[in-house]
Amino acid sequence: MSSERDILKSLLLKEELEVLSQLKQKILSEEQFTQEISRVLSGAIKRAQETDKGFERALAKPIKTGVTKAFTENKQSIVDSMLPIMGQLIRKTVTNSIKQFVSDINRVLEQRFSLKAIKWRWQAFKAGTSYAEMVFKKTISYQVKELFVINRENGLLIQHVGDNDMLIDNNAVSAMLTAIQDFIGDSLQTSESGLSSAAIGDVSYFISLGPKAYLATVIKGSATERLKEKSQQLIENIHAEFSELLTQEEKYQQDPEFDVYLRSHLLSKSISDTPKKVNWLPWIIGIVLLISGLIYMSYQKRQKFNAVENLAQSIEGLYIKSIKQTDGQYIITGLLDPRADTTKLIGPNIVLNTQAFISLDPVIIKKRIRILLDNHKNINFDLFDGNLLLTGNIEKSASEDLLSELTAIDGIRSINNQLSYIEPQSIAHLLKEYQNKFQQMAYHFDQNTLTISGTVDYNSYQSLTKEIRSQYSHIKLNDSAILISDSTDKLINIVEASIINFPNEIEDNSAQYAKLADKIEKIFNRNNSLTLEIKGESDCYGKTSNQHSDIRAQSAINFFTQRGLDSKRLIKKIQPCVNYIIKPDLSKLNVTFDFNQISKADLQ
Amino acid sequence: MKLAKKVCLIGRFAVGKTSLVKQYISKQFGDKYKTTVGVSISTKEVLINDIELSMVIWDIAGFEQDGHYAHYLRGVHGLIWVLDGTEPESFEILDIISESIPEIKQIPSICFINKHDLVDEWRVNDEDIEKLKSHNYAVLNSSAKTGENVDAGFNKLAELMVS
Repeated sequence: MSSERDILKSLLLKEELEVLSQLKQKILSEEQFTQEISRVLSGAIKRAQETDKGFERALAKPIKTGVTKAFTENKQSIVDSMLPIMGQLIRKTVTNSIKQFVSDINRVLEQRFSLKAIKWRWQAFKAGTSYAEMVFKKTISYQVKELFVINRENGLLIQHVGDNDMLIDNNAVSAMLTAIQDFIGDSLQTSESGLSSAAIGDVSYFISLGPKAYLATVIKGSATERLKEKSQQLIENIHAEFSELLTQEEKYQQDPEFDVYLRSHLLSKSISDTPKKVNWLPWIIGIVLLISGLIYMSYQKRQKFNAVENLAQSIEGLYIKSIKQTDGQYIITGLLDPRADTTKLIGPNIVLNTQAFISLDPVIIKKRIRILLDNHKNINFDLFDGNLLLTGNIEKSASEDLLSELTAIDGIRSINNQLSYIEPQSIAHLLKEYQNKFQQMAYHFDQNTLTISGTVDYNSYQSLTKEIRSQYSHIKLNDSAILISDSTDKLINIVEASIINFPNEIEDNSAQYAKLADKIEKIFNRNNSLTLEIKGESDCYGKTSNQHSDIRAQSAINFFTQRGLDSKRLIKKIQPCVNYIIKPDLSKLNVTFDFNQISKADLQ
Repeated sequence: MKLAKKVCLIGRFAVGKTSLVKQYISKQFGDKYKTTVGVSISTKEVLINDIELSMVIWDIAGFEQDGHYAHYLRGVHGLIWVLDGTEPESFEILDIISESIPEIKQIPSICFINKHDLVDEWRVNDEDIEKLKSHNYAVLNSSAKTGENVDAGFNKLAELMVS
């Protein structure tokens, strides 16, 4: 029967049975079932999450168990998986800490040499702590921004002071702070609150517990343990002074006295760490005195420096490059002319570190001139704008060397030579040689003019003047006071005044001629442009008078010619008779002489 | 006069505590369920008989473990029990907590049977209702979604707290 039914089923439901068989195989085959389920699993979970509210709850427990188990059994794998996230987080935290630390160090370094640093050192010394500790304490900055006094039991806000953000409900904040503590107590399964502080960014919460209320202190910045102690003291004081208020909920946030009390504890670090008002007056006086002292010392130092500087600058021939004060010494660097007088700078505090140079300072130039004129006591000079004026006396021979040396001095552009040349020693010797040839010889040298007086013979005069003029051409010779004993004019006068008388017709007048011959010779020698007219004169007694006149003149010419006189310069002349006398006059039988000037052409 | 009162919402997971608070505070409702971790705090200012009352509402995470709520209930001024009409099991919380904290019965309280917008899915029977009434709480059928009785419930509690 059964087989028949099976046959019938196979005939009627063959295809369905095959499908059912396949489905059965899929369900029974773990591999196939897993494969089928995996296709729809994600969609099924999603739909279940959307439609079945119990689905998540149902999953919560196994997931929690699974995760716990995974953490327990595969710690290393979990650590490895978490490392990229945690490592980054840790690095960020460490970096921020280092930044804060560096910032603190910078702050310390900035304060290192300040007045504040000195004060802190003193305070550290007094407190017996290290300077570093004091700096750390002083440089940590914080500000107590808000204070919440909260009912410890129900979390209601008893009083709040500080910043009031309209967007934040302080009641909610105080409740949340309480809730957090409760949450921790709940999580840790303890009745005691474990939350003592919390921090978000640079804002920290300090929780200070009291029997009825607790104090939540909101701090911005780096808070210290000391501040935590202060907060604890504050909540204790609140319990002591406002105990009733803490339990009277209808008075919460409405007690002005409590508000004022709390506000006085909104502290900044500077207030909390320096509870006593600092009396700045001694500091100000001290600082003023210190500054005054420093200014005075600086002034004194400057004065000394200026004195040295002025002293150095007053020295001609010293070019100052710099003056430095080192170890109490003033070191002057620059250029120094060897002629400069540095005696004023000699001292233990002044050191000259100079190099030699030639100064064109007028004082130094004058110094050089003076050195050159040291042997010329009669010379004075003046220097103005490079122009040198020389006055006084000098021997001509020495003047040239002196002038060339003066010209060589740097800084002298021109020389105005007003020197008078004085009598050289050699002239004195020369004059001395001629002194015995003079009668009463005298001379003096004034303004380059040598004046000689006295009487001397012509030759000596000629010889002396020739020597002076040849050897001392620069000297003007004044010889107007010299009387020449045998001067040409004198000789001419003598000759022209001479009358050779012939009392007899034939008279030998050789002796008289001889006297004249020397003189004539001298005259001719001294002046070759002169001729001597020899005139024969008669008394015109008899017809032969002219003839005799000629004979007498000729006799003179003959004589002078024989004595070597130039016959060409001896001119015979007859004084002709116009009227004859009847009585002889012997005194007129003469030969006379007369010099005439002739031209050189006539002579030739 | 100003007063602040601590109000706690108690109920199992997903009964709609947070949604009720959200509806009361901001008249909003979200379909997505987000579980509360620990406690969520909200405040609401109401004027009751010339008293400016600041209700500090503690929306405590759903109760699962015994006693974990004790911390949050300290010093509470008013309680709002939140039950789910679609889950009669959520009613058990009343007995559990009342037994563990007997003094809680002295706290002004109201009770929301929530999700009244899903009244067709309610599985609450008469026995549950009777049991609920034995606690002498004002019971309101509420819907966080539609806002039904939400303000009324909270205001009722406010009156109870200041009376």
